Amino acid sequence: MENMSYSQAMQRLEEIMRTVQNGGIDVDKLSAMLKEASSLVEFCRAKLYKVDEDVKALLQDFES
Amino acid sequence: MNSLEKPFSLYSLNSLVSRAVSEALPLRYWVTGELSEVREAANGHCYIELVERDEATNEIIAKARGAIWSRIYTLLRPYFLEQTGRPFSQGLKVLLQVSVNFHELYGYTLDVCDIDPSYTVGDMARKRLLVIKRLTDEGVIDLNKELPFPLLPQRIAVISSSSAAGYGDFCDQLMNNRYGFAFYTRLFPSPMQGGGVEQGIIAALEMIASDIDMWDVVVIIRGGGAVSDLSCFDTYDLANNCAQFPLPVITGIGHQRDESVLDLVAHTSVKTPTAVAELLIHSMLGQAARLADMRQSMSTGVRTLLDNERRRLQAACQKLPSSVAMYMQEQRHRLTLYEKYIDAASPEHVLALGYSITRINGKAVRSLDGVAVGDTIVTSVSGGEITSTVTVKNDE
Repeated sequence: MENMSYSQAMQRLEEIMRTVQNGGIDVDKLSAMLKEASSLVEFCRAKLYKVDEDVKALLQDFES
Repeated sequence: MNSLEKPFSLYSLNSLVSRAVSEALPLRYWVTGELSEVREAANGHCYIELVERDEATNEIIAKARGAIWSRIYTLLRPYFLEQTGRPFSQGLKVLLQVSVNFHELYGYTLDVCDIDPSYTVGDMARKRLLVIKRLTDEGVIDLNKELPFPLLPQRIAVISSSSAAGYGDFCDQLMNNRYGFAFYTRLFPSPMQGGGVEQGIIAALEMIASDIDMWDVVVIIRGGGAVSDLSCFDTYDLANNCAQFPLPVITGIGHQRDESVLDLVAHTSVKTPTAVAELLIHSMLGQAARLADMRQSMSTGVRTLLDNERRRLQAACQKLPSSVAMYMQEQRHRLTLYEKYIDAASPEHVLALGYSITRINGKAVRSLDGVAVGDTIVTSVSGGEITSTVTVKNDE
C-alpha cells in the first residue's frame, strides 16, 4: 500500500465496497477484506490530514 | 533682402504664427492618439506627448506635445482610472479634446480640456479580443481547462509578489483551515503589477516546470482590493504560457469588469486569494466527504450482508423440522415400496405361484450340467419337498 496513490487507494476501496454491497463475497473472506478496507481508509485519511514530513522536507530543501 | 523691409524679431514672428493658429483653429477639437509620454509635474500639471503611428509599419507619422493643467488634471486623472481601470499612462490610446496653441517660446502645443475614456476602453477591449482570438485560433485557449484537477490539491506552487499581503493571508488560510487538511506551499515571486508582470510570471512558471512532479497545482494571486491596472494580465505570451502549462493554474488576481485573458485561460479563476484558498480547501473537503461516505456505505454494506446471511440461516432453521418430516415420510414410502418388491421376489412367493427349486446336494440346479442319471434330487415346492431319483435326462 506504501507505493499506492490516493486515487488508487480510493479505487480499491470502491471495488471492495461494490463487492460487499452486491453480496458477492464469502463470509469467510469478509474479515480479511474489511481489514484491507480499514487500512485503505486510514491511508487515505493520512493523505488528507497528516502533514507528510518527507514532502515538507523535500520542499524545504528545494527552497534553500 | 530689400532694405526697406525690416526683419521680424523671432518673438514677433512667433506671435504672428500664434495669432494665425488661433484664428484658423478657434474651437476645441477631439483628437485621437497614443500617449508616448506622460509626465506629472510637481505643480500638478501633466505634460504629455501624443503620437500617431502608421498602422502598417508602426512608424510615428505625427507627434505633438500637450499639457493638462492641474485644475483639469486633478479631476481627469481619477475619472480616467475609474472608467478604464488603468492609470493615465504611456502606451494608451486616448481620445482628447484639445485647443490648439502656438506659444512664442514653446511652439506648437495642445491644451487638453477633456478626455473620453470610452475610446481607451474600446481600444483595450479590441486588443484583448485580438489576443483571445489568436489563442482560440491556435487551439490553446482551453488547454489548461482540459487538465484533470488533482483529487488532492495539496502541493501548491504560488506565484505572487512577495511583498503582497495576499500571499501571507492565503498561506494562513490554508495552513489554519478548520478541517485540519495538510497543505504545502512555496512562493515563486513575481511582480504583480506594472511592466514586469509578464516576464515575472513566465519565469516563475519555468521554475515550477523544472520540478513539475513536486506540485499538484499552480496558484497565481494578487492581493489588494484597490482598482488597479490589470491589463498586464491580458498579454498573449503570458496567456499562452499559462494555457499550455502542464499543471492546472488557478488565478485569484481580482477583476472588476471583464476577466483578464489570464483568468480566461486558467483552469479555474476566482476573484481573490481568499477564494482560491477556499476552493482548495473545498476540494479536500469533497474527498474527505467521499471517504466518510465510503466508510458509512462499507459498514452499511457489511451489516446488510451479515443480516442477509443471518436471515438465510434463520430461514433454514425454521424450514428444517418440516423438511425433515417430509424427508422421513418420503423415505418411509420408499421403504414400503422396497418391501413390496422384496416380498414379490422372495422364493416363498415364487413357489406359491407354482414354480419349484431343484437341488443336488443342496446346490440349485440351473441346467443339465452336473446332473446325471441315478442322482438323487430334492425339489422344493410350496409347503414342502419331494425327493426323487433321476432316471432319464433329455437334451432339448
